[in-house]
Amino acid sequence: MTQQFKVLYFASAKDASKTDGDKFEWSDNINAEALTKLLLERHPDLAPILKISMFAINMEYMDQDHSWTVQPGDEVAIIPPVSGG
Amino acid sequence: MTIESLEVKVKHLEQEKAALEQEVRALRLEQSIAVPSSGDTVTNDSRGATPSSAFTPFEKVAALTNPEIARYGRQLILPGFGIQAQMDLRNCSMLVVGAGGLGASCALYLGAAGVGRLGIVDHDTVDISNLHRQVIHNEARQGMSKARSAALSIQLLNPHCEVVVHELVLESSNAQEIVNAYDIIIDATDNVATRYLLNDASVLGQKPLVSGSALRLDGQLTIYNYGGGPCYRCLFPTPPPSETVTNCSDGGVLGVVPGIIGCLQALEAIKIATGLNKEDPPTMTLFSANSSTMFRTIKLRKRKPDCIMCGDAPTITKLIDYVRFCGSSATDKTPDLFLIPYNERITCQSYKELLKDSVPHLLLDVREKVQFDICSLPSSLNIPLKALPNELEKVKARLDGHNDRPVYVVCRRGNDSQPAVRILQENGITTGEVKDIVGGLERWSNTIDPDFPKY
Repeated sequence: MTQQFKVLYFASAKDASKTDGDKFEWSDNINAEALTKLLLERHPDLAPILKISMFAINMEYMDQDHSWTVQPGDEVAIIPPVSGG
Repeated sequence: MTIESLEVKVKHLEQEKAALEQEVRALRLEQSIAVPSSGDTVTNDSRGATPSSAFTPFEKVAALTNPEIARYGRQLILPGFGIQAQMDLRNCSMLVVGAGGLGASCALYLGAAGVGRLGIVDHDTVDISNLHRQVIHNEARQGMSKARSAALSIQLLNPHCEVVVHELVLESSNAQEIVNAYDIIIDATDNVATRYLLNDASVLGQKPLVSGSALRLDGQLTIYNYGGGPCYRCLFPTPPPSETVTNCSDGGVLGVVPGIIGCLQALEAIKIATGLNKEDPPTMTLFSANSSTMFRTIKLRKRKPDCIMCGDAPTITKLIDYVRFCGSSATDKTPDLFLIPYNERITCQSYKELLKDSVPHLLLDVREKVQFDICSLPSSLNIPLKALPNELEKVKARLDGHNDRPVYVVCRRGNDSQPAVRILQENGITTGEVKDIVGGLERWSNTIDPDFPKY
């Protein structure tokens, strides 16, 4: 079996992707940029939301820079701001 | 009549008397704060006899009174809390910005817990559609200022809490002075512009900001600008484009969801005031009501050294124009859209006459299905705006070869109907006229059919 990683979608990211989470095939060098590309291939409606979202990996905040890559089995969270009250 | 039954009756009458007396007290209090002057303090505690404002120095005390000890007894005997924490609360001032879904539970619990001074900011008035979640207000207070209604409820719950009413829209011109007057700021607002404003004012005023938000079935909770943690701009440097922002009025919200987040905000504010969370690293709590894991906690980093607000070399050193920065207004009201000129639309009155004259036409309702299910006009076809470009065939099928029939488009308020008209026109759906109904079903209910439900 190929190695995978999981993506969780919150709030408006959940609405745009129409799911609260799905799995992706893992490969080398998935950084913020590559991850964004993968997500948009599957869920084009995420485009405006990814630009304003916070990323977390295994429940830990990640800057949207090149300091990290997704590892097999990781759980990535896409967290857009919620502004209602 | 037996003695027993008479005694029961007396007891019931006594209870009724007590309830009526409380009602009188509530009405008296309500009338005493009916003068809408912002910054007024509401309290019926002896120490608040002279009206003060947020800018009157907050008087700290060295000891609790006996009535306070009796009231807070369950917290006073709580190990790890006790008299010291209760005193910390008593000598702390907090500002709750927003007396809506989040502010309702938050302000009630903070007032009840024994916070010394509680400021409430809100510009809005109580509406019946607020009450499923804004449980600090009630039916009799429809039309009353939310800030005053909230103050009144807190006073009825705990007269020892000094409540300051700020009946205004928080904006760049007034926010800093108000924020500076309190120890802890609670963001219980409902719009993006005020969230950035409060963040910046809290960073500039060096105040911890307990931020909560809720929509539909989801909520978020974070303490910003506290203990070396990030500010709102560290996490969300770019405001969301207004078309991606949904408010409670359009997106819906399950009442208990903001209630839960508001309670968590009250808890976090109490922990800050009493130093209970001094060692905790910064986190963001995510709440998903319909997920099997309802709560998730994301570990955050320290503040960003390059943050334009709280970084080492900030470029924002005073409050800016947040409505402009966010491209959205400082309220959660949906603004009217003016995409199509008025003379190319039809009024509710004209549509009513058209119905009366049995003019053959197609009425297309572009609201989401959940809204269509609540109420709709007879023989309307429901295709939500989002689905319309892909479901034009359904419109054609309903026209059934009558390609010269007029098509009228309706929605809730006359906003979504306008882009829908454009879509139909661009696709040449009919040679007849394509127009939308100004003001939508809300105006239909207001001006034509009062029995048609509004939601």
